[in-house]
Amino acid sequence: MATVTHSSRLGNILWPTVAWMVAIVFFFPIFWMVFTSFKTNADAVKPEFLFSFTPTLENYANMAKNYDYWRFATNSVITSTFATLFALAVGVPAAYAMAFDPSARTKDVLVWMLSTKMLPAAAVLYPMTFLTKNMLGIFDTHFLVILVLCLINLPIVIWMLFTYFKEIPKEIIEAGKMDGVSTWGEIKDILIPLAWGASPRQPC
Amino acid sequence: MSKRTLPRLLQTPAVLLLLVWMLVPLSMTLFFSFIRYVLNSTVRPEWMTPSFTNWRGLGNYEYVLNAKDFWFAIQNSLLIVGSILVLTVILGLGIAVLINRSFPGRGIVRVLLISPFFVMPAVNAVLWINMILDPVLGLNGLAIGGINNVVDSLRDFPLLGHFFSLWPEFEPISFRATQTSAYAVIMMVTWQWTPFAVLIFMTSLQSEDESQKEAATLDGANAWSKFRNLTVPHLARPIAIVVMIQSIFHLSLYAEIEIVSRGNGNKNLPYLIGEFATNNIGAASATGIFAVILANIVAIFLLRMIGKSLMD
Repeated sequence: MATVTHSSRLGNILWPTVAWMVAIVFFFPIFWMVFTSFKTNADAVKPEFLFSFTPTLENYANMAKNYDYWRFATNSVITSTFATLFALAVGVPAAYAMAFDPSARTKDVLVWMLSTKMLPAAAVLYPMTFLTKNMLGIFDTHFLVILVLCLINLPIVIWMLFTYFKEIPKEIIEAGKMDGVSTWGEIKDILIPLAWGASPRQPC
Repeated sequence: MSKRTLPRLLQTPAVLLLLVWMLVPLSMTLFFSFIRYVLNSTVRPEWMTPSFTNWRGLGNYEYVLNAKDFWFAIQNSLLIVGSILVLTVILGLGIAVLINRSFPGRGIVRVLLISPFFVMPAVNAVLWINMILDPVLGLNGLAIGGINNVVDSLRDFPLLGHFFSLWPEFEPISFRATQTSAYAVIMMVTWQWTPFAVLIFMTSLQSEDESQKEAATLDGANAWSKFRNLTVPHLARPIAIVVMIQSIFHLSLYAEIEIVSRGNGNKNLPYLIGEFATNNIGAASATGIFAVILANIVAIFLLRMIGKSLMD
């Protein structure tokens, strides 16, 4: 037994240290990006200024002044917010039905949904441009970007919600049913709070 | 209202949306792939509008199959996806197990580990290729320069100096070059997607049966065999999900490849489509159909391999 306690005591120091080191390595590129953003162009490429330099906000001022930063940032926020909301509005009911009321075809439907994601975006790039520019007239609008982002990510949203819903014990839902909770009540008061950690975010 | 109506009703919007989303662009791509369709042509202006009179049959496919980069692009797509999958699953498993036990600062470690996943793909590529992997301006160049300096100073040592003076100067590897740009892409995408694997594995590890492990410990199993025979089988479903979702995402990588080398020596199918689509829509569409076929082959292969563990 002595060896066991000994090795676990060693492990209690060793493994957390390794974990911290791995975490620092993984975070380093992001740290480095933020760090470099406070250097001038000349300082950024000189090894002697790797850590000692005079921090400057020049880059941020330049970005806001010359690159129309806030317009692009607002665009990103608007499109990703609405795309996420739409995808959740469509995805939560679908994932709920598939997880708690599966039919014989549920598995096929799920795989098919994911397969729409396998269509490489570039393969339908030109048809999309053609359709939206020449026929629907919504090319280059927020609406189109929202729609495309929503549809591109919908399969992933449904899959993630589905896997999380599956881990929620059926008994909880059934207990809710016994207490006379409506379907919407089940989703709103039981599922969403439990699966909150799964609420997917758009990768853009 | 029958028992099945409500679940169907709830699924309908999602199914309909995805059906339209799949069928409309795909059938248009299919149509374009059989006709001559270019964006700019002074010689044959009639090819600039899509119509059945410009029917080319399988000509576009033949053209694409004979294009010099086609097979290279397929090979490269598979190389990139395969390497990223292997690396992220191995790293993800290791890290997930590492942070499964509680220790001081675990919350911070988790946040640090997951942060790369929230970096936008284009930012990721710019960050890695310019600031980390660049042979002159990046940390890669700086590190190699530092090693060279150390070796230089060692050359002045009395006895050992002779040995070190035999060493050549180290050359930093350029990751924009033809042979290495694929590795740069693999590196940066692995960095970004390992957190995804960690996230998924982490949630599953917490539902692992601890008493089973204790029993194994009493039976004299070592840590590796517990990991191999208890943890990995327990993680079969999450591994399946990670592999599925990632292979779908990485088959259509584009931003990273564009930024690292503009397709120089490192193309995948989507990139090839993009190149054709600057003018020859017919060929781009035919390549698109090939990309769809490749994606489906990969998907069928994956489903065969991991399909069972997906639904249990």
